[in-house]
Amino acid sequence: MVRTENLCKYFSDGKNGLVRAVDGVSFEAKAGEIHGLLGANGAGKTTVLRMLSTILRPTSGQAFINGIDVLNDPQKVRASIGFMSTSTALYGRLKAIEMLRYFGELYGLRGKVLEARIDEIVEKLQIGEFGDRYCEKLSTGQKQRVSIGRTIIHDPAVLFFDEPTAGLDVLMAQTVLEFIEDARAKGKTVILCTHIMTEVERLCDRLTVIHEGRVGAAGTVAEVLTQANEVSLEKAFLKIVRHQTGQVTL
Amino acid sequence: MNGTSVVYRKEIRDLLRDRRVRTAIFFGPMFLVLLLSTMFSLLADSLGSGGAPRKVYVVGANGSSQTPENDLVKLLKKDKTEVIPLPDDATARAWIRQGKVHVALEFEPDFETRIQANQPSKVHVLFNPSEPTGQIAAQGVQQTIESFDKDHLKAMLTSKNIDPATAETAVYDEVKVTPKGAAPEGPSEFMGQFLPYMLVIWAFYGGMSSSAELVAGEKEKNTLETLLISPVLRSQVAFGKFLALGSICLLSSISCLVGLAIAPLLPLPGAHKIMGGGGVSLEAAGVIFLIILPAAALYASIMLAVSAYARNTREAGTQLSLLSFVVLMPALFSQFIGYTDYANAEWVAFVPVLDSVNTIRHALEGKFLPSEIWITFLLNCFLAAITVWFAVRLFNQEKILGK
Repeated sequence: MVRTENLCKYFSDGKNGLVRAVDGVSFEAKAGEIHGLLGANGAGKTTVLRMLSTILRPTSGQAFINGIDVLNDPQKVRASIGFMSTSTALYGRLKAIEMLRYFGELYGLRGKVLEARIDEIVEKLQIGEFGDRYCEKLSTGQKQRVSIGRTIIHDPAVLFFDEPTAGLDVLMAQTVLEFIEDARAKGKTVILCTHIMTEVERLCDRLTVIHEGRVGAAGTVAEVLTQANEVSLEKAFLKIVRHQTGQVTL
Repeated sequence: MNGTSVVYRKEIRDLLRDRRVRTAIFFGPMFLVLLLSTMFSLLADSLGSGGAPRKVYVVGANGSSQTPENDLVKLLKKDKTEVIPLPDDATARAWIRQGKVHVALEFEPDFETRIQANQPSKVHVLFNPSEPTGQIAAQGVQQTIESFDKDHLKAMLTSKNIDPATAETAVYDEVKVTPKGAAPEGPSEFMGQFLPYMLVIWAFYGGMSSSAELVAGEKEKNTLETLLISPVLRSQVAFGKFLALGSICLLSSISCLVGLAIAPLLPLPGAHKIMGGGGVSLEAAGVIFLIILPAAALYASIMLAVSAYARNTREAGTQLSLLSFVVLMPALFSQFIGYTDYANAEWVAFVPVLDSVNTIRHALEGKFLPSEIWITFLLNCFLAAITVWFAVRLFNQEKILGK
């Protein structure tokens, strides 16, 4: 389970002074649920994910992963999450299997347990045929499969996906989306950051619309549509964003 | 196996698979040492006794008849000098100016008469002072003229039934006093001057090609984020990377030694002169290791901090290039310190880089000064520890991911 309470992150910028990247974001995502963070580029979605994965320290507010406070026990939090984004590269001079083994070891897996887990992932994601090849020689699709394998090597209870299909073709994007659905089916908590409405409609059980660091709307897709009094998520999203900037009223 | 060990093993594997790194740590130092030693052996051969005879151009003497001028010419020839007659002094001067001739001799017009009258007689030694070869050739001729002068004095005293030894008031007698256990001839110029410099410099330059990639490269490729999201402590990540870079620095320094071990085995003229008196003693090797180890650690920690601070590899590369001058300057100074009293000054042991080069040179000379060795070792360890601490602090900051 993931829970945030009034989460804030402010950066000081020489030119613009204090930048409120995330300003009072609260939401809750349960196990076996995909929770979408919907927002335009620069809305603050990635900053929220970075605070949840303990890379950034919240300026104020709280966040819990499976009941563990991200501020009090960041190491334990990191052990229970998996993070994936298309912008994240692999180590080019490591072979696909070595990449899985390295991350398995980083997550504390050793010996037979690690090898069994690698075998399981290799079979599941069909990495075997290129497992012995250097990551820099892999195709985009093969890299994506290794990247997924690396994310789940330690079988985390919580998975974060940051724009997981950005830059992928339809077939590869489909594989990733199916994998996310599969994770939900296994009872994982999934936080999905995206600006693609169709992905949200297809996958998300609940969503939080973020704009300029603040929550514009939250709930199920149907609830968000009702709040915005719109029939399509795209129109609802635009209305929520315009409402936040004071251009329209809901 | 903790996080540090996991990161270390991955980094070492990753780095050694990079051809640029392999070139920098294996091929580069070995090739450079071999190239330098080839140059030195050729120089040693050329300047040594087995080299080509030096050429001296002489105006007004050819060594055929029995005159004092020709006696000097014969002495020059005996001293492995090729004597070439010149028609007149105008030609000699013109050729020297043109660089065709390094040194020429020109006798005073009444040279023979004055010698026979036991009066001082001048031999003009013509050379271009701005040409090093001219200076060297002139010095060689000076020694022969002094020897000629001495022989003439001896002959004159003997002809007057005076013991020639009475003219000798102080006799130059060379007694070589070397440190205990050191080779009597001492280390060669190559060993004494260049080896310490090469060992220390390559400990830095060997790691330079890898360090930019180590953190700044990871930021650029977006792999650092996933690494830092793992439960391994950031201090362990920093230590793992530091140890890997330190190993690379150490390896490249060791490659210099391997190159040095290969050099005397090559069929080069004068290759035997590279090692000088007796190579590297076991004690000297121990001191070299003791000094290079913290020096490599210091360089690795500084380069890691720079790489962590930089936003991308280009920025890291620029900063590392500037930093290389900070290492290069004291190392260059170390080339000349051996000719001054500074080499034995206590403050040198407190100057990073310079201290390492100086201590290694002393060890190669057979001088093992415990205070110098320990100050150098501990100072570099201390500085490395501070810089690693600083690098860990950078890793613990949010801006480590800033691009």
